[in-house]
Amino acid sequence: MVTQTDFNSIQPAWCPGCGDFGILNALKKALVKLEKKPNQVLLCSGIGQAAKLPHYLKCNVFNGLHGRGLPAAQGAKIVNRDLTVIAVGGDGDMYGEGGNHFIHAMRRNLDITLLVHDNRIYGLTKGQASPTSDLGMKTKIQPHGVSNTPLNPIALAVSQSCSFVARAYSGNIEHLTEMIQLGIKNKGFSLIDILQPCVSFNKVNTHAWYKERVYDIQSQDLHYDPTNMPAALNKSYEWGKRIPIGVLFEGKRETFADHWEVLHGKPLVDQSIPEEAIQDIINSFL
Amino acid sequence: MSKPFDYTIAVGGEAGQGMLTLGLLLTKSLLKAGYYVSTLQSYQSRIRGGHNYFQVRVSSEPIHSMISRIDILVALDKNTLQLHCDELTADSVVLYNQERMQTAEVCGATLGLEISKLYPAAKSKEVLANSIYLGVLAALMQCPLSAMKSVITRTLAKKGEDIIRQNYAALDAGWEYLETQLAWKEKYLAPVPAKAQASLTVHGNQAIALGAMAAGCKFYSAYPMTPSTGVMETMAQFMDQTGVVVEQAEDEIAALNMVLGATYAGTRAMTGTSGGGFALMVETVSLTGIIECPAVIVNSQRPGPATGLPTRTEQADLEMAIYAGHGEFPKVVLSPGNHQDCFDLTRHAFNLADEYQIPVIVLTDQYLADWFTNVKPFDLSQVGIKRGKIVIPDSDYIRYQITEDGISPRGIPGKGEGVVIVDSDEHTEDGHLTEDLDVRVQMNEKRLRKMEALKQHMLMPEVIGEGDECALVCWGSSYGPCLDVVRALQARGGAISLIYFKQVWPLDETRISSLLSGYKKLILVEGNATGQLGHVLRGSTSICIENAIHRYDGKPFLFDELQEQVAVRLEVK
Repeated sequence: MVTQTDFNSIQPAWCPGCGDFGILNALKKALVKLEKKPNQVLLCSGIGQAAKLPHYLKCNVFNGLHGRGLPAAQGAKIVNRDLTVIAVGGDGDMYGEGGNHFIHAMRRNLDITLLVHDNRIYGLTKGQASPTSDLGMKTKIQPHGVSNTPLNPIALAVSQSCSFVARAYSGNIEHLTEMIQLGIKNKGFSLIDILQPCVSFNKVNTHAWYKERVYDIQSQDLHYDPTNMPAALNKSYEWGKRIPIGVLFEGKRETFADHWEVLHGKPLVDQSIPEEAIQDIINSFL
Repeated sequence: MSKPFDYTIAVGGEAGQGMLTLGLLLTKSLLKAGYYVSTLQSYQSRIRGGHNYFQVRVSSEPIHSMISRIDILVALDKNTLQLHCDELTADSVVLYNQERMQTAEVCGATLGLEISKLYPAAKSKEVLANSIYLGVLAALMQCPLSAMKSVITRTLAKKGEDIIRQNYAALDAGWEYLETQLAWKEKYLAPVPAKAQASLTVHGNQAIALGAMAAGCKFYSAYPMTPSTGVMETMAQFMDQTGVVVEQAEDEIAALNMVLGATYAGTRAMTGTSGGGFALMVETVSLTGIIECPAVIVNSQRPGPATGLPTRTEQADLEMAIYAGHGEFPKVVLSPGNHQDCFDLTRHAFNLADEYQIPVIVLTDQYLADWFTNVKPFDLSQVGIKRGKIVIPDSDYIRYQITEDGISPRGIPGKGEGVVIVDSDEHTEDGHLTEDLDVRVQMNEKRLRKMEALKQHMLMPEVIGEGDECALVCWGSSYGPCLDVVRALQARGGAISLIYFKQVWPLDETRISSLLSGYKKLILVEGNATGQLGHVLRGSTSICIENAIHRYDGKPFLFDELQEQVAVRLEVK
């Protein structure tokens, strides 16, 4: 029986009070609930405070380049579908430097889960604007305030029929754990955008700020249907006084592996190319 | 014994006029019939219009290069006449469609064909004209029609018997017409060489892809980029037989990072690109160095800087390949110069990548990528797959164990109780990021120790010829033209050898130094303007080769021109 301590690793080097702790905790809980063992899990990341998370959770780790966690995660999943592959990074890593990969990972639709620690600021480089920073937020680099419109990852994902789109809040670990579980269970590309305060640099989107605003869209009285795309797209623009968290969209569709017959049998890593096949191919050039 | 011959046939026209089809049919037929053949494809970066040409040199003796003269020019448009006028000689002939071009107002002899009269169906189906031209060419050289028919049957197999029959008829019509033209009949007589052997019709890109398949490559990810795309196309063409997954990435950065995800998980994987795409991959090449995952990267060069000449050839990415990536880490750069080496060195690249857990770059270029010539069927019995120190990770497995040879046992994630941790940060033996500077030094030294074994086991240059007078020094696709020049000069009594580098990095300084200093005179032949191999040799051995022949006009070295350039330098001494 796997327990949370089986996933313990080295001590995190995050700021005290950082939202990352909550996310790490929730991820461990989700993996235990799903009865995954450390050697069955692969965490892929790039660079940033969030991208250090894989070191703090015992499992297989591919901690690559800034913005490039997703391509590595997809390469690994293609060749070994037995691995539970999770990509993790911040808003800068996944929506900025790696934005192109995020878009195409949704299209490719491999069975992987993406956790974005969306703190709407650059932490590791000490407080510059991120792709999701609020308009007008002042930083050392943007002394007159951010002038670029913040990226709306949820609307982007819904508009691209992303297989599974959820938003969670690092201050609500129970709900976040459930979202991660659902994301991992979903057959296809799952985005979980996690609202998270940066206690050191983001003085706007604080715990108190979020607590006042977030509400669970799955509350029974709301009768929200995450399979209704126009409704989901509409909902993805709700931001400000009230911020919905929960499963915002389910765009279930054929996965990458469904399309590739060669991926239906044993994992690619366990397959070889028969010499007769290569000989036949060479002979076809005679 | 029959008279030796050496003819160059050029087919020129607008993109979309079918010159590629005609050139390929001709090439395949001549190889099938048993001739010695070499080709050059020159095309513009457009799908329709412009000027493209396909040259086929056919000879009674083995050839590995092209020449600057055209003997038979098939002009599918007027532009072709104007552009190739200078390459024609008094003995050349121009074939053209009289119904399209009233006269071939050019230099030299012309032979106007009334295509639709020769075979009326060709009027509505223009592609049939290709088969008419093919018939005329066959008759000019008295090349056996059976080879052409068998190639047509194979090429058009999917289009059905009617189409094949029509093409046969068009081919016969072309042949029969020429037979009535007594002035031309047998003017370019080319009997099939007696000693010719069976040949594969593969271009360099296909040879590389075949090498990758033979090496057990199961995942190929790339972004299309001329002239490397043929590798991806070939991998995809045979995916049902090999079970390889070919994924077109959103960009070259994704392509190489996907490859690393795949090799991390234990599969052999490869990517291919050209200079601009390789430049995008450079940070990931460095990642490969520190995480010590294998990666095979093909860079099919084209002239730069930036977009440069997208569809032409050059050898100007050598130094970029060797020095690709920030920081210091071992890598290997291989530079095949012919199809056998494209096949062999690609397999070798996979073995090196696995054994040393490093990036291996295979440098080719547009000329080699598109080049057809006589290629002995590849022999699979020579194929050995060496995966290196792969292990099942047990519960106390660590990825970066410090070892004497610098190579750590490579665990495959998910295959054992342990976990496999790789990190782009400097890391401890267990793979976690560290800022312990002593560990940094140990890890850096561990990685760089692999360089020593790589040098010891480097593929030494192939030396062709004997004596200590003079040697041409080349790498990659300049091999073919250099080989032909060296053979020709040797036949004329010249004391000259060829040193062909098929591994350009790393170099074993001692052995390379002793090899090069064994000659009184060295002449560097490189398809670039600055002499990049020269720089590398100078850096590794202190030997400075001052005599150099460069070409950077987007074309490969041509036999006759290069021979002239080398001969001048030999007389100068």
